Amino acid sequence: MNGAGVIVQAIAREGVDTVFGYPGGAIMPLYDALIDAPFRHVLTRHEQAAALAADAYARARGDVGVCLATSGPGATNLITGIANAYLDSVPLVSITGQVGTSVMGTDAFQEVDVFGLTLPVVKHSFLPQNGEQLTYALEQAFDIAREGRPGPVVIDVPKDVMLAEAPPLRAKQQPQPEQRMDSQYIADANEYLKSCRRPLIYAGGGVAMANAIDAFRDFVARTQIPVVTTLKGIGNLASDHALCLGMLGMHGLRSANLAVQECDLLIVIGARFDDRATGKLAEFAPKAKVIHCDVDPAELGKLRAPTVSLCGSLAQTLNALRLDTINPHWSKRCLKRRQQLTDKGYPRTTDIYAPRLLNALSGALDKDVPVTCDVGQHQMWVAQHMVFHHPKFHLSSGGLGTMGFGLPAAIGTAFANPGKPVVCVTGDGSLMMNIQELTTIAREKLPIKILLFDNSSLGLVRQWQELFFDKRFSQIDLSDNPDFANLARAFGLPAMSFHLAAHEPQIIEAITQSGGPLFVHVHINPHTKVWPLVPPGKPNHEMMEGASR
Amino acid sequence: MNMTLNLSTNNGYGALERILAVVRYRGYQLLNVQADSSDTKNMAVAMTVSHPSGNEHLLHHLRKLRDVQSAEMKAAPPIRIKEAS
Repeated sequence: MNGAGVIVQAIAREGVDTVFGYPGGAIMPLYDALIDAPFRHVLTRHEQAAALAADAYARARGDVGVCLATSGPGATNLITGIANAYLDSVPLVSITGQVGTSVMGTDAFQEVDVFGLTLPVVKHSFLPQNGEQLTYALEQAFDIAREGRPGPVVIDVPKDVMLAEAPPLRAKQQPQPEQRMDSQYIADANEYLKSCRRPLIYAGGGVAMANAIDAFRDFVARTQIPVVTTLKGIGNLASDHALCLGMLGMHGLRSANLAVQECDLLIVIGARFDDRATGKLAEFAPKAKVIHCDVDPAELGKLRAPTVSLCGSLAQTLNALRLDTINPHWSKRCLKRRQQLTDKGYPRTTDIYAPRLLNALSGALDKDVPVTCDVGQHQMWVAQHMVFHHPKFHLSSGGLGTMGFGLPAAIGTAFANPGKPVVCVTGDGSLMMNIQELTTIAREKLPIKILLFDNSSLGLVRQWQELFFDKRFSQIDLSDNPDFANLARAFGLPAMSFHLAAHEPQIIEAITQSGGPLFVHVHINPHTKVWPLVPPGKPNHEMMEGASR
Repeated sequence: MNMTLNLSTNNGYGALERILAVVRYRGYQLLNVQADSSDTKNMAVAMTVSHPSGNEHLLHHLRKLRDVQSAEMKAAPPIRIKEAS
């Protein structure tokens, strides 16, 4: 069998049922082999969308995603998607075609140093020079992408290596047993838990990545410690759970940020003290001792020195931690603040008010409907105002903050959940970055409901220029946007447009009742802001607040 | 603060490049590097790096690389730069 055939075998063996890609010269042998592949190939209309769709497919399935592209521009177009997976620790295998080995290094047509270009954004990469090396790379790549802290792996395959004979894949090796946690560290952590008065859990995306959701929820139920989450940790505990104080950080909820500033023990689980979460790091959780649990030793002490580091399996760690009784006054104070926020309600407006609409939509959707979003104001409104019951239902580009993520992510999520509706919340800036994928949705007849919030501007940049750059607006005007509803129709999708708050129930009904793809264009007021907001360089308790709720 | 690093790695494709990229990205200044890749399977890398805080984070990041089999770090004496006569 030739190398291309072995690539197909390797993908099939890993249980991947859908790959995303775009053909071209150097990868033609693989596209020839794909004709007989036992899995589906989805043709996106840009390689970046292929990588982002594969990323979301991986998140939604909890396993590896695969994307394919040809050499040169095909591969360079993948890079944003690979970086997105790297920053959010998503297991992704990217297979790129490369020019033949005889012309490598000669600046041949569509030759670029993919290995070198992707080096800073991969967990590992391979450039096999012959069939033996290709088989070895395929045997390794999927396990590397999955194990420990997940991440992307690139295999850059020269065209002649795809055409040459390659040895068959060897039987998969049994995974290494998890290392036992050092019992002394666990004992130390339990001592701090016993002596604290105001414990708080700060949970991130690592919980779901480690398949530790059940252990996490059991830990919360046993200890009754209140929880704040990062953007990627939303859904670790249902957003409406009694102990969930919401998202922390720059656009975090007041209840979450104040609890962090007041706690005396912060139990950090699968989170990494990202600057968007901590605000001014030196004043983050100033009174707290820190127990930091993570699978990645490089995260422990990287930004905040922990009192106790627990490196290893999160499920194992959480099962070993103990707290007999919690100070009821502390929990009560935290939860009261959260309740006050819920009770406050939304302002009445004549315009459509995105936070209110998202909250109502969330209540109308089934609990297991995945929501993807793009990057900007709407991303924060989704995080703040929708209710999520598992992280795999909230697909958001957290680390890289990739505008253009939402639409391809919805495609990847739809293939990971066949037959299930997917909602894609996007903005007029983000949508235009991968709008060509509307045609992929139409071609595949995917039940994706696109909810576009159109404020004719780059809303979050506009908000920052207004607040922090003395209202000197620079390059944020998108008032010459196309007629989005007509554009969607041109791509073959049913579309509708709305302007008024009175239409909000109609929008929700349209989204929940539609059986196939749907494009809903919603005009919103460009002056609407995301609140609260921690200004840059300020600690999290110095939140600016407006009329968001 | 200067630190000496001794690494034992697989002599995989691009292994040295990967190591040096991590050193740069994590904010360490490379003062000196020696790599012996005469063995086709393994490579020994010795380098001196500098970082204002002298912390060991670099070690954790290097140990995460697939090619790196072992990595040790210790404080190094300051390197004297020869002045032109």
